Amino acid sequence: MRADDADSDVALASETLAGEELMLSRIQATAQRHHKLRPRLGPSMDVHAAHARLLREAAPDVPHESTSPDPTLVHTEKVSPNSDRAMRRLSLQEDRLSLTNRQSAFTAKSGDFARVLAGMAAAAAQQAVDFDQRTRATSR
Amino acid sequence: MTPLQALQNALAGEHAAVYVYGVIGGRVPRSAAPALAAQVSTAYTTHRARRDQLTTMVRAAGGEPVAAEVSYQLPNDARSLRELRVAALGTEQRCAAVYADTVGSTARANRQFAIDALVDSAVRQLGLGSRAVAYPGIPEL
Repeated sequence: MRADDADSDVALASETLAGEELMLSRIQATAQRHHKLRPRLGPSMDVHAAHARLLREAAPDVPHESTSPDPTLVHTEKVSPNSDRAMRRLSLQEDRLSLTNRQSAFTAKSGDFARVLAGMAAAAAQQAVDFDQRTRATSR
Repeated sequence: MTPLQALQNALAGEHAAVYVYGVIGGRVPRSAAPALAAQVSTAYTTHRARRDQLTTMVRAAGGEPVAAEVSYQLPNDARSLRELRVAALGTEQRCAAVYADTVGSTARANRQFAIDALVDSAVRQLGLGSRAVAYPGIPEL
């Protein structure tokens, strides 16, 4: 791979890592606000933590947040006091993350990296649907 | 894997998916399991459309589209509702893996097609009873 191609993929890894860590912090904030959702949100946190871990391992020089959520970010993004609304918001955010990761997968110069990014996009899409379906189930 | 090989693999996967969903669709009792019947019907239509699209894509890439097998082995007897759902889920999981590989071996429009197919397959798996995972279609992660 050419050096500038590698550089662009490193930049992509950095952006993707930021997106995954932001999603993780949002889910953590929701779990903190709504304790009853913690059993459901735990597996989702695991998904995004796994994504962040792989991105850090693949590109250790990529600047990233610490593994703990940025306390200012957690307190800045307001979580709805209504748990259903909070879950719907997470669903929407997962949808956006999936779209972003799809675009990144399309753009990636490395085929192997594109494959991983597409997997991350698919995972976020699953989370979006799962959150939405669970919200509909509890609303009945 | 060359882009053409990747597209041929995806086409082969779709031939199998169309066959399996065709069998499943004929066995799901619509009155007793309307939700599963609808899912299978939608999946069959989707996979058939992808098969046709991939046939075009392979030709555009300069290849002769791989033909469907005469028949395919189902993962189980596919008689009970549970077996039918498991057979459908297995089909989507295989498709997801093939499309993940296709993403890695293609570019531009072909890659976009594979990305969209992977995401669709991953979401479809949820409806068939799978839980959400960190890397749909990438079993080694």
